[in-house]
Order: sequence, then C-alpha cells, then structure tokens
Amino acid sequence: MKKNLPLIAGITIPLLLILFVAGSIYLPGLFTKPKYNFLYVSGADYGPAYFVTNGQLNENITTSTLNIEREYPTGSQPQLFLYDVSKNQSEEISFADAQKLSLNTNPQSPDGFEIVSGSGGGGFFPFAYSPSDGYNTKYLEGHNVSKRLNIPDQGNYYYNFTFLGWITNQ
Amino acid sequence: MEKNEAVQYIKEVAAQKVLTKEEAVAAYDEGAGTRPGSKDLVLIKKLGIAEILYYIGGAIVFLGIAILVWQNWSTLSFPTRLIATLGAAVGAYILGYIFGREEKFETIGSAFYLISALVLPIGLYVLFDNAGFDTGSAGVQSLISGIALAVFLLSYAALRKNIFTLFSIIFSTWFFFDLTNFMVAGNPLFGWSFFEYRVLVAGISYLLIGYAFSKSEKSSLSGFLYGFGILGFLGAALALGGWSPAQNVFWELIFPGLALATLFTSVYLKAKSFLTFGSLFLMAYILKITGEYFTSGLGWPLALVLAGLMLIAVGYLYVYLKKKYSLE
Repeated sequence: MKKNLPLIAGITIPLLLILFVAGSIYLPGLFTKPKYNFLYVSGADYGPAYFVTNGQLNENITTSTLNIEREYPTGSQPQLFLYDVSKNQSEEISFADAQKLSLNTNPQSPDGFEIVSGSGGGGFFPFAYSPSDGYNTKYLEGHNVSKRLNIPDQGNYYYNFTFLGWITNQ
Repeated sequence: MEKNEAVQYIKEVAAQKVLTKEEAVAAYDEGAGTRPGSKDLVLIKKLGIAEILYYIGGAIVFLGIAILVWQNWSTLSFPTRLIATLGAAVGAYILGYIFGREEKFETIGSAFYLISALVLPIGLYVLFDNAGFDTGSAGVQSLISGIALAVFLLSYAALRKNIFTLFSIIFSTWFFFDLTNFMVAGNPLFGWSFFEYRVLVAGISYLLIGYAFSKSEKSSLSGFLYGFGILGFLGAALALGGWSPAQNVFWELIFPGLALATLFTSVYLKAKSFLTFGSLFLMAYILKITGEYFTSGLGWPLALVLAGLMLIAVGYLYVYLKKKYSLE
C-alpha cells in the first residue's frame, strides 16, 4: 500500500478535481435559489422593439414596424418571454399581458442575481471543445451559484436574448 | 550431466544458501531461453534504428489514413469511411496482438498497436458523426476518449503490455479534460484559469505516477511522465500568476519557490527534465516579473541588465547541478 501511494495519489487527484467541479456546480444550487422571474425579448434585428419606462413595458413603434415590414424569417420577429426561475423555463407572453408587469431594469435582481453569457469554448487541441450554443447560452449568476437558463433558440444568434427587467409584482 | 546429478547439485547449493529460489528460477529461464511471466521489453529496452523506424512507419500509416479520409470525405460513403478508420484500427490491433505474441516481433506488434491507438479515435469520430452527433461538443469528445481509454485499460488488464499503459495515460488525460469541459460547458464561474488549474492537476498526477513507475519495471515511462508533468505543472503555475493589473499574487509569490524546488528535486530524482524545465521556467519568471513590474521604476535598460545577470546565474546553476550530480 505504502509502495503504491504515489500511484494511488496520482490517479486520485484528478478524480478529486472532477468531484470538486461536480460539487461546486450542483451543490450550491440546492441551497441558494433565485426568486425573481424576468422578462426578455427575442428577435428584434432593427434595434430595441420594446423599452421600459417607470417600471412598465412600452413598444417602440418604429423598430416594431421595421421588423414586420422587412418580413424577416420566423425567429427574427421580436417575441416577449417570461422566464420562470422556479421551473427554469420560458413562456411566451403577449405585449398586453407583459404591460401589466412591474419591471426592475437593474441588471442585478433584488435578491442579488444577474444574467451573464457563457464562454464560447476553450482549451486547445485535442482538449478543445466548442459548445454548440457558445456565447448564446445564458446563466443566472449570483452568491457563487451559476445556473444555466433554458432559453429556447429562436434561430437568431445575436438577438436571441435581450433582457428587459426583473418582475417585481409576482 | 545426468538429471539426478543436477537435482542433487541444486539441493546442495540450496542447503548451503548459496543461491536463492528466485535466482535459481531466473537462471533456469535464462538457460532455457524462456520468457519469465509477463516480462515485456517494449518501452523498457533502448530503441534501436529498426524500432524507431517501426514507430515512424506506424505514425505515417496513421497520417495516410487520416489524409485519405479528410481529402475524400464527401466522396467516400459511410461504410468506406468506417472501414478505412475503425476497421483499420481493429485490423491493426489484431495484427499487433499476433505479432506481440512472439518476442522477436514484439516491437512490430507495438507499432501496430500504435496505429490502432491513433486511428481508433478517428473511427469513433466517423461513427458518431454519421449517427448525427455534434463531434465538436465536449460530450461526444468525452465519449470518444472514454471508449478509447476503456479499450486500452482492458487491453492492459488482459495482456499486461507497457505500451497499453502509455496509451491509457494519454487517453485518460484527454478524457479528464473533455469530461471537465462537458461538466463545466460554458459556465461563467469557470473561466480560463480553470483550464490552467486542470493542467496543474494533470502535471502533478503525471509526476506522481512517474515517481511510482520509477521504482518498477515501467521506469522507462518515468522520463516521459516527468517531462510532460513538470512542463504542465510549472507552465500552469506561471500562467496562473497572470499579468498586472490582473495578476494573482499568490501564484506570483510562490512560483520562484516551486521552480527552485524543481531544480533541487532534479538531484534527488536524477531527472534531467526537472533541471531543464526548472531552469527555463525560472528564466521565464525573471523576464516576466521584470517586464511586469520593473520597467517603469528602475527603467527598462537597468531592468534588462539585472534580468540578464539573473539569467546567467540560473544558467550557471543549471550547468553546476548537471555536472555535479551527473544528470542525464
């Protein structure tokens, strides 16, 4: 046993790192849970289709018209989504319903979370990887927790996600 | 000599404790020309020109297969691609096994195992690509490296050949990086420094395994493990120090200690790679720190003079230790 100690340690150390990574990804999420849902828009190639004033959503008529007139393929048309953090899923919402929401446009939620982009890959050959969704992946990050968001791919890489505000009246 | 006389002589020698049982068995094996147990000379004996040519030939066969598939990807059908890659890997493995059974063809057998190890991942890529998987994703790469690792670990367990130890180490390293890539994906909590920490851990692991092997019949693998291990360890430790203003003070402060410890460990382990990489990284550290902190305060020319003197000192230390302790 003593003779094989360096060999055992040499094999165990990378395994411990793997366990540490698994623990640091999955464990904090069990104890720290974000509370605030948020509203976002997907699409809108011609600039912001919606904006928030005094905590309420408004439509930018000019860009909305442009987006419709140019007949961009499905997915480029701006669509509003409510993200439910407890279910970790998006739900499309109409403009009329979204207007009833009270929104906080601060990048950081009242409970200390913010939405950040994932990294677009890393490493070098042959240890390189390229996540299929790359930068477009969004994470809810805060309190040393980083939770991957299930943002449906609307087929629009650059305008797939535009944050509008944290919902404070739900 | 009569059989009975020989047996009687052995009894007498054993009674006088002139010869141990192991020495007697070894002498018998040597005389009879039989191979003791699992003695495997590949990667143990020094490579001659013929052996080097076998391995170069194996690597060229791999290149030929890779280029064939790459250049004719669109024209080759899936079964042809699969036969040219996975089929070739399986075929080379079988040939390796057949040749490996005879001691005089063992190195040729190892060259075929080398072809198999190099072509197997390409064959698996072809297979997964045809099945519709994203072969660039960390998940599929983990699967490919994991399968290759399992193949060569099982091969080692069954055939006890040193070459499978080498392949298992290489594929386990690949698997380690890909699995952690898969787990982390694009998680922003794990930035570029996480990659450096993984290299650091892989380096430490190589060093420990190299040390364990140095005391066994796999001692010829120690040089390879020490070389890549210390390169990864010191390279990652230096990179973790970062660059001002985003530097990591802990790693910047601890690095000269690590480099000096490496130099002195080279004497204990009789490992030239420790001495070489320890000296090179100490020089790199001196240049890095000079460029990072001393270009404005002392002035660039004076900083260069000091750095140059320190490099001469490190160079002298390298030559001194190498000569004094006959490190080869």
